[in-house]
Amino acid sequence: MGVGLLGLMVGSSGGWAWPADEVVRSSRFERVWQAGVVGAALACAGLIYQAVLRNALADPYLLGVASGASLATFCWKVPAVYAAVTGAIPWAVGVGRFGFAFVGALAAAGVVLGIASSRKRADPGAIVLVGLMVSMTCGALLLLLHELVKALPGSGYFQTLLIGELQTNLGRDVLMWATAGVVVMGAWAVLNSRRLDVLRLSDDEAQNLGVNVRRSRLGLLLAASLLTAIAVALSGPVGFVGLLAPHAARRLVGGGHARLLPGSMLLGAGLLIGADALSRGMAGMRVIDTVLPIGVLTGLIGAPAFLVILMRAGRGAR
Amino acid sequence: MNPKMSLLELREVSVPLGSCEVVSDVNLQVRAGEVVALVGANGSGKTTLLRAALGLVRCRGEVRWNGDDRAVRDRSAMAKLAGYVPQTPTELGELSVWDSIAIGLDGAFGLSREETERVDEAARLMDVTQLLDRTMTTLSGGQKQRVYLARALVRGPAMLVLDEPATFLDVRHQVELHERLTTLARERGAGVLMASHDLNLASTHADRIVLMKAGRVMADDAPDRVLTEENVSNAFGLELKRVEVDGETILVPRRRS
Repeated sequence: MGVGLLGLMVGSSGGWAWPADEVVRSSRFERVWQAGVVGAALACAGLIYQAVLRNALADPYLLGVASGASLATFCWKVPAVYAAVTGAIPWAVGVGRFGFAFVGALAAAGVVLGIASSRKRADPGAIVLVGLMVSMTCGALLLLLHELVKALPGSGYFQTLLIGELQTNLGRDVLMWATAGVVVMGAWAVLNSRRLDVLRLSDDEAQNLGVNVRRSRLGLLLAASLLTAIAVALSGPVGFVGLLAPHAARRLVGGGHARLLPGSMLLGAGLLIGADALSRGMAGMRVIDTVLPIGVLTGLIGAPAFLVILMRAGRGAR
Repeated sequence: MNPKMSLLELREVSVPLGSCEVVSDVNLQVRAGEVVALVGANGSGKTTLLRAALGLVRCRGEVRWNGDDRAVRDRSAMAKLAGYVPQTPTELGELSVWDSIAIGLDGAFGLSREETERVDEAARLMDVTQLLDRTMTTLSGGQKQRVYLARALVRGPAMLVLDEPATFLDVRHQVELHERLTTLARERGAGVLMASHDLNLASTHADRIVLMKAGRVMADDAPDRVLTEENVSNAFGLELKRVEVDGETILVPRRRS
């Protein structure tokens, strides 16, 4: 709540007050709203990936899932590409921004998990390496597509889909749908919190506790991919939130998913709202000339934190 | 519970792995209130047999729980029938002991009062009540093992299936663990089927010993009848002698010249 109020008060033109102008207030409100929804979605997705894959390094960004969703969202955004895709796949007309992102997220997750599971026991680092490979491939394809269609309308969106950036022109109906999706998926994950706890055990132990491991894992991976798709369709692939928020929440509320899920989602929302406020504040104080894309800040914060988690995971493995 | 009732019955159970069989034509029964120890050399098929009994690996033959051969394919039914502790249980370090035990229950909306009482009861049975608020990383190996056993007990299963439960314990905790298992079987009528490498502990605490070699059951009888020098030598490829100490028989390896 406090971070949300802070986000509303920080301006990009040097102000530090409650916005008197209705237009400014509304614009900031939508920004804070969007950051909160994206942060909560990515944190929830990251936590689910970490539990289901038993991998402390799992994160929608590092697994390449966010990049897959980005590429698919670009296909939806550029009319020429959209026409080509819907021409080839007629049913794609009805699925919209979120549907395209979901298909992209699922395809990327399928490739990563397919390659990783071809080894009998893929280690956490190997899964992340495969994820980075998928991420780089999707990024390269995105750039290639952009080069091909950059003269066409809609192609300017591509920076958002490459780095991760809050949008100012989404409209409240889109935010409303995204919020509903994140709340429903978050609530469903909380209902499955004990299952998430159990899936961190070995398959034998989980099955002996009455859990259908394969079905549970599939359902939860679909949920995490949908949450990633919602976040990416709004703001592109914002990095490391899905890694940082769950790890920070684990230190605050312990390891049980019943508390960890809401804790992570709140921290993820707070992290992105805070990062956006910092970005606007730096622009307002002329530290930098422009409002930095939010993905730049989360990358700067997240990369060192990733290294710390990687080293801890390495020590744990030994 | 009827002590003569067969909780688990394996009939002609074989587990194929590629072109060979890891377990071949095993017949085995465990009754309520009975402690049965599976012993044998490394690779003799003990763990695979336990997993087959729990439906965790595909097998040929019949696996009957309480006389029902369909139960082994029903995960929910198996969760109530058998509590399982594998050889190396997964440690969820940041969980509290209470959460580590409660993980064995369903409780999507949190635990009911009855389920909370079950967690407390399982903790009491394994003597970890005073540890409930601690995180798993702060426990010793023996304490952790008791928590895993409490988790296996929390649903009140008819039988405990344990894969070398004393592996990482010192001698005092090994003895305590076996005494607890015997008490559970005697006082609560639970069946216990455990793989073990300690022939002496198995001999003093088990009602029956099943000696395995190369996936087959060599002998299945009272400890004194199974752990003969000839049987042990044949199964382990090692000469042992039986020594009587205070009326109890212990097995001691002969020094190799």
